[in-house]
Amino acid sequence: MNVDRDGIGFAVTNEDGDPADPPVVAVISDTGAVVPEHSSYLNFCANKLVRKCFLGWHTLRVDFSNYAFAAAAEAPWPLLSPATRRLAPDVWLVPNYELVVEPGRDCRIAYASVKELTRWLMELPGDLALDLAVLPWDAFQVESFARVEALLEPGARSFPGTGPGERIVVGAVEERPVLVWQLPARCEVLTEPSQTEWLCERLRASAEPPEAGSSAAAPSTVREPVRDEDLVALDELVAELCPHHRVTRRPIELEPDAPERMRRLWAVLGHSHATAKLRPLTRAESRAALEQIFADWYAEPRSRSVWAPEGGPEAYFAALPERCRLLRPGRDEIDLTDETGAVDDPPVLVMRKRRPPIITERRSYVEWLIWELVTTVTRSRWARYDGHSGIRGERLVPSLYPTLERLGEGVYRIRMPEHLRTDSIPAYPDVVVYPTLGHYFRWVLALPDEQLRFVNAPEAMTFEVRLPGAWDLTEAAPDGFRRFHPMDNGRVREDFWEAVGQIGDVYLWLFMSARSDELFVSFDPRKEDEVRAILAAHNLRIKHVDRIREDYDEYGW
Amino acid sequence: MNERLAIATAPVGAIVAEATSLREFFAQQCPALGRELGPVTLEPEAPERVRAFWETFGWTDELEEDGWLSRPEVPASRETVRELLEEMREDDVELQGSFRSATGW
Repeated sequence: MNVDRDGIGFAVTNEDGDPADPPVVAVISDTGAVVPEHSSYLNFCANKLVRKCFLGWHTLRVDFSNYAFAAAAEAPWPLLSPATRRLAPDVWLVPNYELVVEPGRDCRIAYASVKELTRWLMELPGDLALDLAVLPWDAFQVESFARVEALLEPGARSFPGTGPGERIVVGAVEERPVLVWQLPARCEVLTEPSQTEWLCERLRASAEPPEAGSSAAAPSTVREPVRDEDLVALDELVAELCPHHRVTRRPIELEPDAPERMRRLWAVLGHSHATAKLRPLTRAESRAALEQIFADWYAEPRSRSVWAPEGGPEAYFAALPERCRLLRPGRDEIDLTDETGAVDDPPVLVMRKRRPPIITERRSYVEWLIWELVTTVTRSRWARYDGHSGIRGERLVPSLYPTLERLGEGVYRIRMPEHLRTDSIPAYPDVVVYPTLGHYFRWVLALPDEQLRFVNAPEAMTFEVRLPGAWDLTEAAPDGFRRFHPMDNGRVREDFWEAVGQIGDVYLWLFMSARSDELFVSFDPRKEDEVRAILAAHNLRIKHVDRIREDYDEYGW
Repeated sequence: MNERLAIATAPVGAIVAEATSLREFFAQQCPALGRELGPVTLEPEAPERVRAFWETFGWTDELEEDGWLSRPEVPASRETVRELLEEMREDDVELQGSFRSATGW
């Protein structure tokens, strides 16, 4: 009924004896313990679904000194989720996790706007103390409570906190709602996200963290003209990495006034199995898709409170460039071009669901597309590239993408174009890609020793072996294997050993830490049976299996 | 561990009514997921209230993302559990007890 594949374990129902509402049993995956989890499967599921409903709402982690107010509030699902309460039209009490069966400290407040939250708090009956742990991320600090107090309109309400000198004040500053948390050493203020900047200014404080990126689109890079032979070479590369590319290709037509480089690129690539996920929409298709996305975003209070606090979903469009095109819809953000003006290669912008402004991600759509395309089709056929290696190749398509190089037979290096966002750090900005693992291993095994130690293990299936026995890399490498200390950011890691080699037609990548007795063996997943046999023949016992993604061969292998 | 909840003895019609209301609210708050909710049919021998809940609320496989919930039908669930137990076996982990004895209600 519920699986946490990377963590604790999983939960199942016990339906023996035909229970009306089966109990839930949890299995802890690293110990095998089987423990009672919850008395009600239906409550477990309903709480999960209720929590999902409120993912787009603002939430406040606060404990109340008593929960008498909840008894008087509407319980929309008293059987399925008895902990959930509608406290006011846009203020709810929702369970923090799936096992909660009644209103209380295991619940949080979800609210559509700070105005609704403060209105509800101000009308609460009785003497209540509030225990606040943290305010939402868009709250800001001010030097002292006195600074806010001087601006508060009459009628503010004060609640005691739980610590000495602590209190929570709700009220308004010039009709803007505020929640102020006064602590002995600091004071924090929460208002509507759309009013935060105004209030900061009003309080003459500037505690807001610097905004990521820039709202202004970066100018498109001026580069050499696109060469036809580079377009052909790019198409050949895509066909080499994804054999279905050419046999599935259909033409794509963009508007006559679409940016020139964009049109030329797509005229060559076309719509194929390889390019399907990145196929450009027409601007009309883009508009229709954005209408749906913005309607969905508008349903979430956290989104509409920052992008459309006054108007309807149309307010999102007001933030867009005059002429743009949706590139990639995402759950929490979208990529789009800015094609305003005479631009032949538009910049790529990012609009985040809950965080203005629109920021620039890439200077060039063409570079964005090539990076996305190559890394999409090779998502299971890649390894990290180490910039300290000095391994260089021949530039493949210089007029399109200067940092795409051919390193050897079927082996390419691609470096991510300049990443202009400051709110994220790319995990793997420089990678080696190849059509098959065999290409990568053959290239690696041909490198001289001084370069070999800079290469990284490829994406592959991996066995973890307990007690490496004759394959203890700290002593020696298996016969015919090349052993080396890997490099890490230009430094030799003498506490690690790796070895690369071949047994029969099976390539193997071995890794060991000198401080552990575990050996990691990586290989082509299609050779699983052969590798199990090889390890068994060497009396090596598999302790853990790391499988590669199931659709690893979707684009080729 | 907690006590039996009222839902265990509630009329099936009351569960259907709440599941209908929860589905409507879910579709309002998560419109993209709400559009994906489709019919699901549980086995005739599934607990009546469980069947009524899911057959009213509906299902989309997107609810499985991030380990949120698993498909409610028994064959899909058995397959998932079989895979998970196999992964544990590969990791040399054995079940410490039985599902039945762990149920304390």
